[in-house]
Amino acid sequence: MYGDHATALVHHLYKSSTLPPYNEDLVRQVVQEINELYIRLVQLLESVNNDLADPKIGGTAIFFHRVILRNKRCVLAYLLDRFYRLRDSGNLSSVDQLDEHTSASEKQLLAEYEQLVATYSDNVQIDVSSSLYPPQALFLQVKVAKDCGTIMTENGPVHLRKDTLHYMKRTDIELLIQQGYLLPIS
Amino acid sequence: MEESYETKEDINDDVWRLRKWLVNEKCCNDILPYQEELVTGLADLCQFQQSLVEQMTESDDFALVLVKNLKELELERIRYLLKEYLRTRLRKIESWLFYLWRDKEKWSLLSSSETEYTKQLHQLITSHFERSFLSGLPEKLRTIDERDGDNPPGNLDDMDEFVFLYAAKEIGNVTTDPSSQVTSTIHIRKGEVVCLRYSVAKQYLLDESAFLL
Repeated sequence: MYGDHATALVHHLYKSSTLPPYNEDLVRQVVQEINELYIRLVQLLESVNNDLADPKIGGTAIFFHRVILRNKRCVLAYLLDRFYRLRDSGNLSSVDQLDEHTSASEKQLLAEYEQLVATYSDNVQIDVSSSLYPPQALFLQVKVAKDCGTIMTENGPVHLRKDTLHYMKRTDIELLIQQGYLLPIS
Repeated sequence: MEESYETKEDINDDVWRLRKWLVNEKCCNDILPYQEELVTGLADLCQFQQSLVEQMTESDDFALVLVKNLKELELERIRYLLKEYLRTRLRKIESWLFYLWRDKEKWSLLSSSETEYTKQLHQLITSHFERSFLSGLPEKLRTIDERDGDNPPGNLDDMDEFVFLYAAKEIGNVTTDPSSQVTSTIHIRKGEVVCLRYSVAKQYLLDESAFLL
């Protein structure tokens, strides 16, 4: 039935709380269905010289048009919701981790979006991508999950080797925590 | 309530106002005016405090170390408020992007940076739509602003939804439902918490005589 592919596309995303892989096949099927319906609609209108006085012709034309609009709305909602989920998934700079689940266009969009947020932060001179949670204390105890090398702090260089514990200023290590290199303990 | 919502008239008044505006932004699905003076003023104060903190050299005096740490923590908290306020507004722009694009009068409520952000984001999203989907359709179907029945793409939530309002000042008599044929008014005194339709409460948010909870 017309509209089934679009419904399946939306349902596929709705069922999943995380981000499922980009369903290129279903999107292609919806595009194909829209194109077929559009050709049939144009042929119908040409056959009656755009005269929709006959209710059967007018009803059929409206039906085709409404299915086309519904299919289009479903796919646009699918794309937009995927963008919101990718935006909220946390660290966007490690796009490689999302390789299997995103389309090439989504990867490009995410990279451009990151750049847009960075430009906005430069304009207002406030980094909106940091301090995502209210600060509880100045200092945090963290465990190093992956080797981070050496970072400079106001107390001198700190070597962040895997499985070591450190008591450091939150502002110095916030980015590393967001990226998953450090795990807060307290 | 765990803390007083009384207006604090001291040097931290701006911090209190920013916090109220942040809660207002989080509690309503409406585009509120950007508080430019407030944000710029606090950002400048933060920079000044940062310079004071940097001038405080390391010392063995526990009192000095404590003062330095307290100033830094206060700085971090105010910076968090600023960032969260800007983030919340950006999220709203992202959620209501196509509504804003249709109703450009609302752009007067945004800052110049937010307006630029809106334009750029719209460009990014529509390019993504083109690449992923619209380019495969006939040319007459490639626009995004078509209506699907009675539903325009992107719309704000119902402006008549109920919200909780705290009166920071004496407000007086308020008509609770102007659209109803039955007139109903309540008297709102300073310090009272009331539940009103957002469309009625909005004017009191804008003149800061009340704020959302």
